[in-house]
Amino acid sequence: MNRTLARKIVRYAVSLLIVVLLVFLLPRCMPGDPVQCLVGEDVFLTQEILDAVTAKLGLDLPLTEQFRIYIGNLLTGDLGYSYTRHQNVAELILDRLPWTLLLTGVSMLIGYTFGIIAGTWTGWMAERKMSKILTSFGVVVSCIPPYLLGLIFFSVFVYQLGWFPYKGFYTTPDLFSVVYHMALPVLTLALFVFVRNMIIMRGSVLTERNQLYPQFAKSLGVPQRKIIYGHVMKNAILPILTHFAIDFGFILSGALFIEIIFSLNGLGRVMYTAILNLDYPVLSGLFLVIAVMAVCANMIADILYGIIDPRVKRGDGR
Amino acid sequence: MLILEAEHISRSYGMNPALNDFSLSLSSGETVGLTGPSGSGKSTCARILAGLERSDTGSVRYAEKTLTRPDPGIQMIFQDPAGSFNPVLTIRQSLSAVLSLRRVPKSDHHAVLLAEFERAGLQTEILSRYPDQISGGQAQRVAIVRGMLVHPRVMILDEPTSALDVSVQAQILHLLKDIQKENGVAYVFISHDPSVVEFMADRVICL
Repeated sequence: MNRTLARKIVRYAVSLLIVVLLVFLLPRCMPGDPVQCLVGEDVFLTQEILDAVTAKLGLDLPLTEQFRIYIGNLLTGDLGYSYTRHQNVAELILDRLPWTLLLTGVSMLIGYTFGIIAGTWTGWMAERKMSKILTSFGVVVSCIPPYLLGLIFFSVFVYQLGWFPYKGFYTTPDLFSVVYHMALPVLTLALFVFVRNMIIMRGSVLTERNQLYPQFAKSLGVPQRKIIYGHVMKNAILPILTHFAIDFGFILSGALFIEIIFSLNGLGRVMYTAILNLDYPVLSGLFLVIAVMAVCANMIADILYGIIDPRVKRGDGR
Repeated sequence: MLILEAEHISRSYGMNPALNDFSLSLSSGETVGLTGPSGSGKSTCARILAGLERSDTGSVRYAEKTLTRPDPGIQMIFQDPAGSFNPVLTIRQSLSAVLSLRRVPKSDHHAVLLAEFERAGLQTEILSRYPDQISGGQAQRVAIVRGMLVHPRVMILDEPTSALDVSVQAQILHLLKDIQKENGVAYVFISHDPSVVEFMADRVICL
């Protein structure tokens, strides 16, 4: 194992530890009684019950001991208990997470793939009218927040035209029904991801195409398609990777809004309800899961960066 | 034998004229020097002669055919040699790609590169390095080697030594002269340094 890899592993481990520490400290640092926070502010508890729950949750123990127990619970997959929903938080998240991942995963796959290809084309053919139209469209759409985009689509395609269903993931649990229900939410999020990536990629390709190496390839008689998609795109894609890591949390939050608009019962709905009910255990669990996913996205981007640009592996990349 | 001919070529960028009514004829084995102050259109002229850019008026003929697109028979060497290599490929990968274009069998690539490197006075360790890991002089030699791999009949040298120190400049100029003596390749040598142009060129055009 080389030093760069070891350094990266330590960096991500520290990030994860800080996330876990924040999730652990948050309910304990909040003003008021932590038990009251955990069970919800609307629930009235007598002092006796409060003391009993405090002891049961181990909140009367020293902070270091509490942290040790918390880590132990995390390692066994225990994220706490929601007193509002009367359900295990880990079970709740595990039940909803696949749907949110399906929505974000498919949207990101579509958005990134087409965004990169279209961005490369608009950057390389920047002087063409079609490229200018596509860029203008991208700028306009990227200025619309995902929830507003979702509302517009919902109003037009569901309410006015009736092309898509009003709510839910499926009517009957079969693939066609899932695709039919997910199509519009996926298209909404994918469009948002697509335009953002297209604009970034366009700028990056504009910079790369003025470098000397594509010109040299051209003088050798290398076909234009190979120059664009074989050489230029590979170098221009690096800012997209950085963006992927930074933007992951933003896309996920966009997905949460879209879930609410299209009444999809994923993590977004869970978070929305948890915020309304001040369900801190669920919010803490969600915060932890989302933060871990964001750290993983950073790690993936980091690995891909090293594969695409070997200079990064040397530790002296640009 | 006339190999490259430009007749009354002009080029403007918007309202700004970059090159006005330029003509040139170049024979095999000949070196024409192109000099002039900054902004006189030397690089624009080079790019048009290499087929990388189209002129607004006039035409360029290479090997008795009108040049409408880049031809591997005309190679260009740039002022920033490292920048003319794909930064994420090793020198070996960049040069092998050129040999593949020439349909040289992959098994022969190493031997061809070793021979070319020896001729250019380059160490073979460079092959496994990336463009930003070699010096300016080495990068320019590698760029010349790469240009020669396709056996061009014309080389457009756009300020090939201006970013190099004097001793390295002399080595590069001598290397170019040796290559010309051996292969009969014609050069369009662009420089703002009159002494360098005088050393290299058979005749000089001032823009």
